[in-house]
Amino acid sequence: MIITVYDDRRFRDEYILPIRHVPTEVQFLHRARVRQDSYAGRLMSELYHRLFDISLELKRDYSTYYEVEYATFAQYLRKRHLLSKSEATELSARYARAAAIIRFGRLYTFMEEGVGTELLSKLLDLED
Amino acid sequence: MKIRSGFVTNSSSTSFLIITRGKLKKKDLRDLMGVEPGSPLTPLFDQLYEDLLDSVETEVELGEITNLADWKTLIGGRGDSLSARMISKLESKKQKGAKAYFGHLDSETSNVQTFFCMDCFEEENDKIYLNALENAW
Repeated sequence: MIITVYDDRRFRDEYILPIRHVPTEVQFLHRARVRQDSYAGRLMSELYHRLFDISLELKRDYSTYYEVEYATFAQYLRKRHLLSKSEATELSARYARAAAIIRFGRLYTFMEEGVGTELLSKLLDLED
Repeated sequence: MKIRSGFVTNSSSTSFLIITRGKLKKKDLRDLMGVEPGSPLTPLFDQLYEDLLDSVETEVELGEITNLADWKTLIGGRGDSLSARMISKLESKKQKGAKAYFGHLDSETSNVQTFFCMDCFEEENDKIYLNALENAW
């Protein structure tokens, strides 16, 4: 499952996805089936870094910082991230079983086409 | 009049030189870039292969260049835009069956081509040399 939201402060789409298991970088590269010392290997290491080091992790942020402010995860998504009611409800339903819920902006131009969505689904073992 | 509130950017292009032993093959490009069989990145690099082939402007049989005048035409035909590194690679790989492809990638085509066009890379193995380091021609 990938939710796309438009960030009108940055004029771009952003993506939110719940992940069941956060892979290590080694597992991520293994799933990508790339040689580590290659162009594709470096590209996938950079993608891992962008997904798991630079992106916002909403589940962790909520439980660490915002739980005192917003009674539910859905409220946090609605008020802090300005998600629609249906998006907040859908993500809240996955909160308990998600190891992480990440939000990120544009990664690479190629991620915006079908090839990118399919790639993320395979690399991160996303639910439908 | 139109007012655009988002980013406004110029287009980009990246020149490339590919030197291969024989014809450039899809599988050889995947090997060069480190994509193993069954990789979910295969469609991305297969698209790069198609984009590279579609963007070739000049194809040269390096082994058939026998005299110095032809060689100078090849090098000089691109003005002073071939880097010393490209010239040195062309000279070192000038042998029978070797092919050189010159072309450029453009940021105004597909998102896949835009990504590679805006990157800057040089890769080499025993079958292929690929130089996409600069916008030279």
